[in-house]
Amino acid sequence: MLIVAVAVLAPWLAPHSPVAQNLRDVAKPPTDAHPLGTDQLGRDLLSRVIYGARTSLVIGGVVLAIAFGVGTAVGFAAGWFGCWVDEGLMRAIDVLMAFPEILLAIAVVAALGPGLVNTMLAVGVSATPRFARLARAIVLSLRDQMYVEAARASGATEWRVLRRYILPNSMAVLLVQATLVIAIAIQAAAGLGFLGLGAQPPTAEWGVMLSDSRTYISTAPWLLTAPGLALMVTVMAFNFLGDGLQDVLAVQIAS
Amino acid sequence: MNRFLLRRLATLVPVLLGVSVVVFLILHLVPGDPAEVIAGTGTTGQGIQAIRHQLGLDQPLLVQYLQWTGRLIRGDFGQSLMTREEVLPQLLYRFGNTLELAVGGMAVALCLGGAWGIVAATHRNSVWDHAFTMLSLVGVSMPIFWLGLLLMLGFAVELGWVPATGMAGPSTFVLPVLTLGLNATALVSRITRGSLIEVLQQAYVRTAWAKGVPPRSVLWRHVMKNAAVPIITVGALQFGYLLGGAVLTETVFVWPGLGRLLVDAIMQRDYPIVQGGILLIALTLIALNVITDVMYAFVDPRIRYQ
Repeated sequence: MLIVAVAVLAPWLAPHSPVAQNLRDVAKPPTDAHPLGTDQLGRDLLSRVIYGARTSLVIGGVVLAIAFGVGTAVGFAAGWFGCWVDEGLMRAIDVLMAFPEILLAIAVVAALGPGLVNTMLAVGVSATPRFARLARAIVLSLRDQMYVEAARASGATEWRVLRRYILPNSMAVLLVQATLVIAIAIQAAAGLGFLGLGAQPPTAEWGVMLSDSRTYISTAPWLLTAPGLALMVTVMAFNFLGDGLQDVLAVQIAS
Repeated sequence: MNRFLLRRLATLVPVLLGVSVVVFLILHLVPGDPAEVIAGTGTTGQGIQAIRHQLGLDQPLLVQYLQWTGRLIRGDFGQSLMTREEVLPQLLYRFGNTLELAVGGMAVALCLGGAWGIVAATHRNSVWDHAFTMLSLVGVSMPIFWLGLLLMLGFAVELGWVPATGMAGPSTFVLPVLTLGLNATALVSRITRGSLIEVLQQAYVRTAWAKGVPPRSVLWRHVMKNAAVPIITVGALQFGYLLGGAVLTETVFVWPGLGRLLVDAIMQRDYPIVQGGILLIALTLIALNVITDVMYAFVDPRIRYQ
């Protein structure tokens, strides 16, 4: 929650502009004016870390929307209609899963070109199989439930059954997966940024900042601690949230 | 067993086809005309035409795909657009360097993660177990490239024990392997702990305790043997994750592996290398999955007859 607040309030919290350069204050250690110091172009590090929260959360959100939307739709269709629809869609998902996630993201970036928007697309595609498989498994387990049969018997259209009965009952499991996917997405996008394939300078993005800090590791080590710590804490927060949700919702389902 | 093997190999066909289509399409999803993009600005129409012809882009899509896969099967991965060198030898050399890191990292992860998982599972709800839960969460959440940078800062820059970057002798091997290994340790230890706890609750373990088998013997003879199968399986699957992590680790430590080559090639729009590299990693993983499945079926006969 705190991280979301920081991201939303970035313009008010940040003491300086994240892109304003001050070449007289290049790579200075932490001082009163710049609590975390300045980077190689004299930009205030604290402000850049704060704006980085914004970038990462936007990435997490967009990736989730893509992966959740496409993945759940594919999984539902495969699980619900079965036979050749299932076969076809699941083979396609198998193909995507033959690549490690970060490699699949790199492949998409290789085709579309580096950049922040393409990164979100790439990570979104690479996270899609998770939802597809999960959604399919859920539908398969719900398909033969009494209330689903009752709804079908009373003449509800297939679309209505999926939307009104299957989707709400699968939300709990999908929600847990969603928080974990945000954590993975933020990490993967930062990884692409670090490789130089993601967000491009001067965007304040933690992966890019860490990549820059590598050059100055012996002269300005503070450049590498703050963005890394921010990145880890954010990812950890979503992992925690996922674990917590799982505990709470599992109890609910059991009772 | 033979029937199982055949059936497993048959499921490979659609996956291999799909993977080749995906890799093939990398070049064709390039926005605009790929030939123009590769040529960059300032190339004449003739130059673009030459590139188009070299890559066979002037042919219909299906013909291109068939020609491309035909060459791949004969081991011809094409030439680099930058250096004109054959792609395959270069890929294999770099892949060897990456495998060194991945295997080393896996060894570190299995030793550390395995040991820790055993301690956590056998001393449940102890201080060790709680420390384990906390630290594995930190480990999972810690971006591998940041871990690498921190290790570099600590051991290479501050302490000066090992060189920070490059590949020259055993000392340069330490940091990248440690980075990859520690990153995978969190997952391996989680799996070990979970798998052990499940086996520890089985009736035959209780019987072993009841008939007075010494604790060490219960743990190694009864529990570990049965818990090892899922650990090894998941361990093998983790290898793919490790290869992905290697791409990032190589960039941190300027290690001349496949991942580094791939990223450089993307920057330079050297598509034959990009396609070849991605294909090579995907094929490795597919092969690994099949081997794991077969091994699993070999160990546990129930799986063969499903």
